[in-house]
Amino acid sequence: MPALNKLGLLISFSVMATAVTSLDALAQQPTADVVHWLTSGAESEAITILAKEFEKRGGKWVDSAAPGGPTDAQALIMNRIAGGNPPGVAFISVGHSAVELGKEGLLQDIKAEAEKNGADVTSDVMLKLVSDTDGALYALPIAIESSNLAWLSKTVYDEAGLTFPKSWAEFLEQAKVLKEKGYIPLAVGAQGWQLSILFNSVLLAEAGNDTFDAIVNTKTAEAAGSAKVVQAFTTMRALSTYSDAGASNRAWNDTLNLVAEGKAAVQIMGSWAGAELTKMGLERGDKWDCILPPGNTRLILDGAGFEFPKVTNADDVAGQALFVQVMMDPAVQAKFAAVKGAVPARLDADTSGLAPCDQMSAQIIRDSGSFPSPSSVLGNESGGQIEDLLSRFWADASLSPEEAAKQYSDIVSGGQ
Amino acid sequence: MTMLQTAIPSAVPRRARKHRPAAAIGRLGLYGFLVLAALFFAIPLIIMVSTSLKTVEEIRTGSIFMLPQALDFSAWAKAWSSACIGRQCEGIRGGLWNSILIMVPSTALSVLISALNGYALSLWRIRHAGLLLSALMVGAFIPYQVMIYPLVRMSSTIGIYGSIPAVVLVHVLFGLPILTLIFRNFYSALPEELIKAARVDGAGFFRIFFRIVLPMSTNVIIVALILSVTGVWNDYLLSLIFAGRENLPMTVELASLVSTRIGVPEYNVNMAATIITALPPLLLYLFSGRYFVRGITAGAVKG
Amino acid sequence: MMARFALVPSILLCAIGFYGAMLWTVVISFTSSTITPRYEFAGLAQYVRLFTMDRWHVAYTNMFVFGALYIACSLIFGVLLAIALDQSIRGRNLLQTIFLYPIALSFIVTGLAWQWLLNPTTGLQNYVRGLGFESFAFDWLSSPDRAVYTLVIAGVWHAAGLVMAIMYAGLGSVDGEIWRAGRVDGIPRTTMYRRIILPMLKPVIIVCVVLLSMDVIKSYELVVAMTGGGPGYSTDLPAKFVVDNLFTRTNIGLASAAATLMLASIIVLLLLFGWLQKERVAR
Repeated sequence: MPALNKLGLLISFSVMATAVTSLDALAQQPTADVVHWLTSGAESEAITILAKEFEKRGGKWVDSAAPGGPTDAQALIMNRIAGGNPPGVAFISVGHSAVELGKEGLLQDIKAEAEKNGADVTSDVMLKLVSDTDGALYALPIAIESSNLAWLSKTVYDEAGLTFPKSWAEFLEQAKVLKEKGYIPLAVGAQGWQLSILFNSVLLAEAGNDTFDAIVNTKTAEAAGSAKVVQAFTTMRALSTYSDAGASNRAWNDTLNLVAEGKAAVQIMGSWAGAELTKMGLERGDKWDCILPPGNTRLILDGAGFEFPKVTNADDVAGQALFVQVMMDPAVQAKFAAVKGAVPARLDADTSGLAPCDQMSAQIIRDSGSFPSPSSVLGNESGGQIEDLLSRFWADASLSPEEAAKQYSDIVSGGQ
Repeated sequence: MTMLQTAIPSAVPRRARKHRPAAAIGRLGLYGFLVLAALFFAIPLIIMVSTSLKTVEEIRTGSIFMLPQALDFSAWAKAWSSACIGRQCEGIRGGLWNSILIMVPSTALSVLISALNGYALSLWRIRHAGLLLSALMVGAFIPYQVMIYPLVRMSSTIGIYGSIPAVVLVHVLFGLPILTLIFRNFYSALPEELIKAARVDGAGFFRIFFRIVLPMSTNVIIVALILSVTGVWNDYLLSLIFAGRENLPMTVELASLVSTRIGVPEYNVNMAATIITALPPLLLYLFSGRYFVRGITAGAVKG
Repeated sequence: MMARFALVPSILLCAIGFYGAMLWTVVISFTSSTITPRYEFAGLAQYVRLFTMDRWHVAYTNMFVFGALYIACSLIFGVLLAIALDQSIRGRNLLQTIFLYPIALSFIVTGLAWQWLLNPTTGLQNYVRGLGFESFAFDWLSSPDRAVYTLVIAGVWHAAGLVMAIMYAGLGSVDGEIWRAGRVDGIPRTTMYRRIILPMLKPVIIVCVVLLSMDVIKSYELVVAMTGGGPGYSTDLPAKFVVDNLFTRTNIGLASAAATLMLASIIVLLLLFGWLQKERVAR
């Protein structure tokens, strides 16, 4: 009876599967099943630091890497929650999305656990992003990443006899010269999120700190649609002519390679680029340098952190508590940040071991101040719409800066 | 029964070739077309293989069209057994066994069920057989990404989510429409008298299937197997979501490998890993391609 | 009746798997669900929103542009190859293998390989310029108007071999008598193919079309690997739009509305196809 055989096969498979899971349940050990996408060089080293420390303190680390990046990781997390098998810990970009998820009752409120572990000395720009209005805390930051940094090739600037520009207007002047000499003036990977990083630093320069503040902190439509934002889009359009033909859909690290090899003058990218450059065996000051982008005086921050889906298994619950202890340990944060190319989220953590660029970031955050990035404030949906808008604007010259600014303003203020 | 001969005569009778200049030019054009086409198809693979044999330095400085200076298989060895995937540096060999564990039951079940469906739909007078087939075929045109979420809910309801049975079930589901269609087309070409005679002798539905119909289905089973193996082996997202982290197949390892990178990108290792991962279905095509060609048309030409 | 009984598992599997999932998607498309399913009726709000989104229009149009070109080009190229191979050619087995192997590769590998080849800075354009043809340009991959054609090139590379294999077998099954009769009447070979042989092979061609159109739906992976939907979102496809909104944009309602529209279009096309078939048979 083949039908029966089929059934038998299926049953024996499921029995095998349950046997494996019940064996797991017997063990009593704080367990963290961690979904993350930290698989590229420096990043994977950073997550290893956490894993080793977690294991050292008696926990069991289960690595659920989603290699495709944030999209796959998000798909995995959502589907595992839906499938009744949520991971205990999930890596996230610190932002409003965690609050959206928390409001649906899918995440653990970890306020109590966090307060025991130094929430009071953690960056409040970050904590504010993941706090609900009723005081619940749905995620924790481990490291702060500056997204507006210019990674420039000293070789290119030296050979062209130029110094790094003070404004985007000056940048555009120089770009002509650089292009004539056969360099790529601006290394861009034309993917939504990378364009978003570039645009934010253009916006901060052209619109100024006050307007930027009105956009990210009060989501004011007038500010987001003002003439200054139109100017930012105009600059963006001008910049789009100074990249190379291979920019379309290029990964950020392949783009960075252009700077490292002295083919391109500069790339605007987050602090993680520094770790990647170091990994290539290049020291700062040797062939490359990091600096605030033209016209920027403050940093735009993104955070790396973790959220904690609701779990029922005692080992997983214990694992979450242990994980919070580990990730909030200032020594761990210092090491994590040093390897990943970031600044520790705890302001009392030691920054002396950080790479020079990250020490610079830490100092700017302290002395001049910082903003949360628009995408972290707005959440995945609006952030994604901005990425769509920027991608289209970059590729399609028929979309005018005025129209783009109007759409931008609509998205920021949440209108349709 | 000439209809039973599903094998196709390899060449049509040709007119005798005459050495006229026009014909010679024609043949030159023909070969020119074929050679150009062969280049179009071969170049991507040639580039992948030649890149996998280069050193990192060669890739960085040279063009992708350049052939490697020396045959260097170290990238292959590294991809197989020592390249880093996330935290582990054991190459992609770990996923091989999982890929097989997922593939074997998926293809076996798909083929068996689809053969049974095709047989029932074509050789037995089932009411609304056409409607059933159309209803099934609609499934072939739904992008599976759309159905992931509800399927996750369903598989967790029956308690198999995050295990090999879950991913097998999903593969069987997505394979059913096209495989059933292929079997139905093939079996429609069989004469009804065959079944009638067997039924007169008292043979039942399953007996006829296993004793008479299945032994005649070698060609079409090969087609179904090839399609099924290729589909299941190359899948990435379904396995990532349904299989559970202990059962991740090679394709997932490959994706991790390509995104895990330390410093300068090692395109040679990436390429080697890509080829290794693609090797099983490739070999299958190389060795059974001929049967594939025969089987896939067998039903269609006559049905 | 045993025959019906044997179909039960498949019918159940499909009824629950395909139609259950479809029904769920349609239901969700009429709700205000965002990050998780919420069964709160919202009327046509998600559809209205969808129609205001430029990206959706681009994606939806692309499905037809890519689909039509992919099917037509694969078919024409595949048929030409099959006919060429049918002319008592030397090295036919080798050529067949070369034409057929891409079908064994996944769309992801196909997309990556072609992205590499067609990338203007690292691939073909750069190489040809390096040979001294400075003005040579092939930068479709980075042109918003043309990138969708690079997807067609990669797709045809992947599928033309399959069409060739099927059509070649089809050509081989044509009765030798027909050729002989044609020769007696002095009909040129090209006319024979066009007027007699290919029309005879219509069922085979339909099989090819069915297989190819299934690929169009699955081409999500090709787009992701090759262009990521770019430049801009000029190569976006409905499937990618759905996945982005479902998983990263936490917008299940909108994603479901898009999926429902996609399904509806496909069903309409299938019905149309079936109706055309019937019409032809009736005549």
